[in-house]
Amino acid sequence: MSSSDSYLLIQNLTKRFGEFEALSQVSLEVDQSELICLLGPSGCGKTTVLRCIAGLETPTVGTIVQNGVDITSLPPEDRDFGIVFQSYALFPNLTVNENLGFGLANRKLSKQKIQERVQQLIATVGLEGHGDKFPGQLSGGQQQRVALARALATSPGLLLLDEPLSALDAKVRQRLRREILDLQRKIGITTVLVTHDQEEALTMGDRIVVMDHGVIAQTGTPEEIYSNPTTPFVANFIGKMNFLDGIASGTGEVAVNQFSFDCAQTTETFSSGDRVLLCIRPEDIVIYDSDFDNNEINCNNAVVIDTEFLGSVFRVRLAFEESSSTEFIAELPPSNMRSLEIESGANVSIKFPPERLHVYLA
Amino acid sequence: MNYYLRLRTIITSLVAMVALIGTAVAQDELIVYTAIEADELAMFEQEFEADNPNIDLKWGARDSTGIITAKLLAEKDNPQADIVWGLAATSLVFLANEDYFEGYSPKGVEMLDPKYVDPTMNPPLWVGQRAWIASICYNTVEGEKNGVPQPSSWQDLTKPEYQGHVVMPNPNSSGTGFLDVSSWLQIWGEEDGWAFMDALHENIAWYTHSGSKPCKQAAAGEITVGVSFAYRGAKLKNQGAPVEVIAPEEGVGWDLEAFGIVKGAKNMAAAQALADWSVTKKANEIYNREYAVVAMPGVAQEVENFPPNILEKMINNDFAWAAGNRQRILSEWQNRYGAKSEPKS
Amino acid sequence: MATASAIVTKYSRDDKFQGGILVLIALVVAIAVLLPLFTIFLKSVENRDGQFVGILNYVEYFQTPALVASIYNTIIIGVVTTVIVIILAFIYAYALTRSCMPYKNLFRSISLIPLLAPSLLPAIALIYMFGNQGYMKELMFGYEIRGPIGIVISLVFWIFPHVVILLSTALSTADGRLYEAAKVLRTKSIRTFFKITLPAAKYGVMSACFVAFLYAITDFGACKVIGGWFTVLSLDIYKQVVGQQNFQLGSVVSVILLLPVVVTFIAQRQVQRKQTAQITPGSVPYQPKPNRRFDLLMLLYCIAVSFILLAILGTAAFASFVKFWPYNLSLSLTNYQFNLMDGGSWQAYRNSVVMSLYTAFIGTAVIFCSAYFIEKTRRYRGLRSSLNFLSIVPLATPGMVLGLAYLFFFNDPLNPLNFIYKTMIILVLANIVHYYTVPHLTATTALKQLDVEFESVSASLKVPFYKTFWHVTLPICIPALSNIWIYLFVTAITTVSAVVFLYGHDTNIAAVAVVNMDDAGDVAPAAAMAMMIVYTAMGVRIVHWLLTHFIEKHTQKWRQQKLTSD
Repeated sequence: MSSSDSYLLIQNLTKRFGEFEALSQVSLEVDQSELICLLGPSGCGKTTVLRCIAGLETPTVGTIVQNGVDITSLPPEDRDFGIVFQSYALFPNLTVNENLGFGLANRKLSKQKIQERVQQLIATVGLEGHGDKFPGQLSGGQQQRVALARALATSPGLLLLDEPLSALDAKVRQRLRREILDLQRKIGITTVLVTHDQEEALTMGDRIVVMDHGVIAQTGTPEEIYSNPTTPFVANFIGKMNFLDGIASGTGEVAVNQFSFDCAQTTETFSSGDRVLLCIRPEDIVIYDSDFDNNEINCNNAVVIDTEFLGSVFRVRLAFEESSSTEFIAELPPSNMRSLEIESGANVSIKFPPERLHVYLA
Repeated sequence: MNYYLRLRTIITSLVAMVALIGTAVAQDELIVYTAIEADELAMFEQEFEADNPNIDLKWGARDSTGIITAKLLAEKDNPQADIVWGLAATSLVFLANEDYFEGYSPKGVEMLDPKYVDPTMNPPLWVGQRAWIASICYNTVEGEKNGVPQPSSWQDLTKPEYQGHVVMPNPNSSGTGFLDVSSWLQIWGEEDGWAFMDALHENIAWYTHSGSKPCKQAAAGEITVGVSFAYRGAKLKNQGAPVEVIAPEEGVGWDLEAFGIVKGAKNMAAAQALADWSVTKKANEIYNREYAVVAMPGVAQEVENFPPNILEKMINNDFAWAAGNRQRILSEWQNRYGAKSEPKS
Repeated sequence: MATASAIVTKYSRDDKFQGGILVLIALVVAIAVLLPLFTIFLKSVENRDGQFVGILNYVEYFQTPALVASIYNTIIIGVVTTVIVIILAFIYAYALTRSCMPYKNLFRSISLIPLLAPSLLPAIALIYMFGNQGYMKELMFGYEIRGPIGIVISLVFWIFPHVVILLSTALSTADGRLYEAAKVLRTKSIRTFFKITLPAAKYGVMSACFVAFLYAITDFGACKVIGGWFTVLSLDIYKQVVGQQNFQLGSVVSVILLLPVVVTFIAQRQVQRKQTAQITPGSVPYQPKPNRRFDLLMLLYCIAVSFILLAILGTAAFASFVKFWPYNLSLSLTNYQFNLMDGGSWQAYRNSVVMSLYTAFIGTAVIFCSAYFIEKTRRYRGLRSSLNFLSIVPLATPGMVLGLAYLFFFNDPLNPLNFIYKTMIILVLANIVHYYTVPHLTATTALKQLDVEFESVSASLKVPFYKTFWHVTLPICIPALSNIWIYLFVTAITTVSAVVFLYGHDTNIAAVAVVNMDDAGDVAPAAAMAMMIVYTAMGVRIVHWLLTHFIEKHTQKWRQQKLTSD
């Protein structure tokens, strides 16, 4: 197998539970100090990957190499990682200090050294003054920080985070995302984060691994994943996407109903007559006045079915004039709404910019 | 290999330790099986150990005659007792026929009345200690209340007015029960004996497990007439219970409490020491505290409230016959009357 | 590239250690449960000389009408006791959960008192109440208390608290929304009872029926004391083994007793599973509303039942102080001079206390630790689930059968463990095994409530599992440990069935002494000894309660939640 300078190297990881294949042929490289997000709906196998890395599950086939050492068959005790679980698994009968010192006490360190390290950790996660409290006396966010500090206490080479923020409410979650990210950057610890929350993955991950039914659907930076989803699943799972049934014409055009759209920008080529999905994100749809020149490329008449106010944007449900059965959604800022005087029943012109269109085989 | 060796050492030393403790305990322990009443046990143990301070007497089993006999029989191939002490002579003869005992002449055995010592072997396989004698306990208060007259003979108990007012011990468990049955069969012969018991069975309220319980229940008024033994009746009367102790006119059964040393006893010396002690005058005097008839002539003092003429009424008990027919009599009895019996019998 | 064979994770030091412990547990289970029970079956197909005779012993059994009658008797006792106790306890539990009568806690406590007594005690008390010299003899209208009537009353007394607990649970999990709906629809209350209350409590009632039936058909103490000439299967085992030393027939009866027990047990497990599945997350607890007439009725009922329970206990207590019932009713302590009694001694009482303490301490440690290893070990799934299954076997094993199994197994001179026979060791072992299941379930439930990832976190911190066990798992489970301790203590001091075959002269225990003193006709001292058991169980329970409060105050501070917001 090829060597690489990646810190964590996963090759052909397959995990079967009886007949059920939870993971198949998962391969992944994580660089030193990189934060990688495993993203996918529940049951997609992302947590299984994490547990295999931790040694809490044994893969059926495959290899895991951490820092140049094959750890595939090592028990968790003999691996080098810190872990934060969704439940935090804080020891409820021990104080914050005792929780943080729990792994240190076993390392033949002097009492004073342990004390110093605990204080340092407390300062790192900003929990000064809470050291003598029990976990039950802390808020969810504080508990989360204790769990993070405990995972870092023994200075492991790899940090594993299993849905670390899902138990928190939205505001705390947003703040902690930032904090974890800052901390990770500061320490430079290689991190694998498992989440089902696409926003979390997009904001935190250096790279994102999107998983579906035990296989990797796509790997890439957040921008790559968002702007160039390689499968309809990724396209649908990350961000919002309009899916329109169409037929490829072979000349880089796709026909939806009787309209033809220029999709020359998409790399894939389809044979003439292939059933395809023509996709565009709501914010990429451009809306003009109805008296706009429809002859411009990928422009068409449409009618507004209804609108929905979402605060920073309006969501507009549209249909092609001629066949109201093909609906799609556009999003545009309130200022545009006002200037275009968009309301239910209004006739407008829309444009699908060619460089923003994605086409997948249906 | 290293681990294995260490493990072996540990196991070996553990086994050795257990064995050591085992033998250390066994060395001065004398295991005694007995059927004498528990309220006397502590006293005998104390008196014997006072005279033999090196020996630790352990009551290995204490239960009714029938149960101790059955237990000894069950342990025949692997006897646990060193000496059987204070068990009915009938049972001892029965067990002696199974080659259970080692012959031994206790020092001073010649001082005992020879009719209380095993007549068949020299040295004897068993030696008697004291006799207990069947009697009827009759509760005068309940008798009057229930219209049950005081009986004077065994046959009285088969009369209709006694129906449901008589209890007797189950001979399968109780030595007293067996000596009753055995005496009736000896007095009247097999046929008439069983006929009497068939009639008596109609009047029996329940059969008890122990030989003293019928008298205790009569004393407590739970029943009017209890077929039991004289010592228990006298003792209860002395305690103030409204009972009369009656020796029926046809004659009364009796048996000996006796001892025999178990063949191959683990602690033979201590067993012989207990045998020697058991025929001393001191021991006989202790026997007399609760029993009226002891093996050493001239020792017995009168026991208060003991039926006065009871010694003349003692039947001429044929131990060999009783022992030889014990199993047959017991299973016959069980088949005829077992269903009315109290548990454990 | 060839496909690699399945990966096996290397065994860490913890894994090896835990594996070793699990194998040890399996070994102990084999020695303490499986092999002894197997010898029962073996003995039942052997003759006295140990030769295989097939079903000959069974043939002999079924040809003896007196023995076969016991099967019928046992079932009758079981059914009648169950019907009576379920009705009485249902109304009592209904009052406790569905009325607004006052002093509910007091009545709940009173209903639990029989738990502190051996089943021998009500039987003895009933003889004083309804025996030939009983002070309420007239109420028997000439019927004899010794026999089925006495057995049933004793068992109803003794089983009552168990059933009240089960039915209270079943009735208190009712969904309040249904009652509100019924009220809105103006449903008559009698209709509400039959259409909502009973169906909702159906599985709870069925489960309680099976439990009551199980206890009734396996009891030994009450039948022994007050059975008279009436025989049941557990008594037959005792008679055959102790009375006749007929071990073969004794094991035949044991096997026959096991049949209805196992069937009932399996049915009970099925029903219980349905019962727990019935509670849905959306249920709203039912809150009873005051109703003067109904509450007064319930109060009167509870007073009546409590009075009977206390009267039975009080009779035993009083009788134990009476000098010579019924001729000299002056009070004295003569009956407590156990050293002068045939079959009892203060030594027996001390042995009982010592045995119960050993059982409670060792049992709590052993049961909790094995539940921990079964529940929290990462590997050895197959071994763990079979051990978990085996842990419910003792619940389906009557004490008499277990005791007899131990007699056969440990009294065998070829058994290297022979030396424990008749010692304190075998008594404690028998008690722990006999009462293993309930504490095991308590411990497992407590352990299941802990975060499943504690062990994973510890592994990632490279902390050996035993440190986590000692510093985290154990302290959190103190309340469960405390419950297990008192359960084991009280059951051990009150039990008679399992140990009746196993005690020696030096290791006689109080409950057995009660049996033996009663056998010898010393009923009042038997009552006194039974009361000593009650006093002790009650005293220990109170001390335990105080201690538990003290300990929880000092070690469970972390349970006081005080949430600060982010």
